[in-house]
Amino acid sequence: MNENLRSIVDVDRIIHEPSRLVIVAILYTVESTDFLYLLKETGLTKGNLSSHLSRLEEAGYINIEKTFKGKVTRTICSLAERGREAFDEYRLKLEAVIDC
Amino acid sequence: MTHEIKEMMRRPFRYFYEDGIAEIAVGGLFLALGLSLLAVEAAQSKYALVIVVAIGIPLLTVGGGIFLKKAVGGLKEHVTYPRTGYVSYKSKEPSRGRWLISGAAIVFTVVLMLIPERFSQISIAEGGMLFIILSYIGYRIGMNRFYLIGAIAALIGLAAAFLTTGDILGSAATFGGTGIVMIISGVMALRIYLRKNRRPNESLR
Repeated sequence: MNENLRSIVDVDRIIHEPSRLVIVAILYTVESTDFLYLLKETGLTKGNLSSHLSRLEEAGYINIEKTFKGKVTRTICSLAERGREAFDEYRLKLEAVIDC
Repeated sequence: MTHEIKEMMRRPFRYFYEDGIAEIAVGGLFLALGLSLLAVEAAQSKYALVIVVAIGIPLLTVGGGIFLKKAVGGLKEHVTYPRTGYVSYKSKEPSRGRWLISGAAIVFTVVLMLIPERFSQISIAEGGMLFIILSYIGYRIGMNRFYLIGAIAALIGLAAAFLTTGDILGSAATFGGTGIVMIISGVMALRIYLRKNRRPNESLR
């Protein structure tokens, strides 16, 4: 297999999934966001978003924290250092593939 | 695809301005500044000028800035976050934007020195700086209305230079006028935002 094809095959499958890519891209630029903001931005259903967030949390890419604002629960998501590095690596690979 | 990723990464910054609350707040601050300067002009007293310039304006900008930050945050907690979600932004790191604005300010100052002294240079400078800053914000977040507000601020500064007598009145007109424009723009943005985004059920969060 040539080098360029290997780059495509080796891309991080966790981040490469389109919905998770959107989630990670959003979290990359901010300190944290809540579940509702991610729901609005991704356009996913609640179940779908929860599933993707769980997958990212299992991989150690994001941190999820449940807090309270008054009587309302707020699920706060932030990008972990591992997730930040994974996204940087993913972007470099993608740019290398597109530029070739 | 990288263009789409970059666009996704810009969206959280645009989100801060979507509800118009920050615009209304800053517009209010500019209007207060303009009215303070107008009061000084009306008083025709050098003591009033000293008090406003030495105490009033620093209090307004520093204290006003702190108050605005809390007020905007509080309003967003009640209006924005329950509707479209909460975002916490990173503490600002020095960006090349600051160098860009500083460079533009230097170029602008040099150009300003070429303008004949009979025109109020200060209001032209203020209008020009507001144009640079607002246009930069518009460019960074991809919101066209900031270019328009910036252009209006520049026009107000220019008009104030020709139509008013003296720097204080010119500055009052520039800041006060820009403040009013920003408040109107912010209110319109807020109306659109509230119409598009109903408050969801608590269970969604």
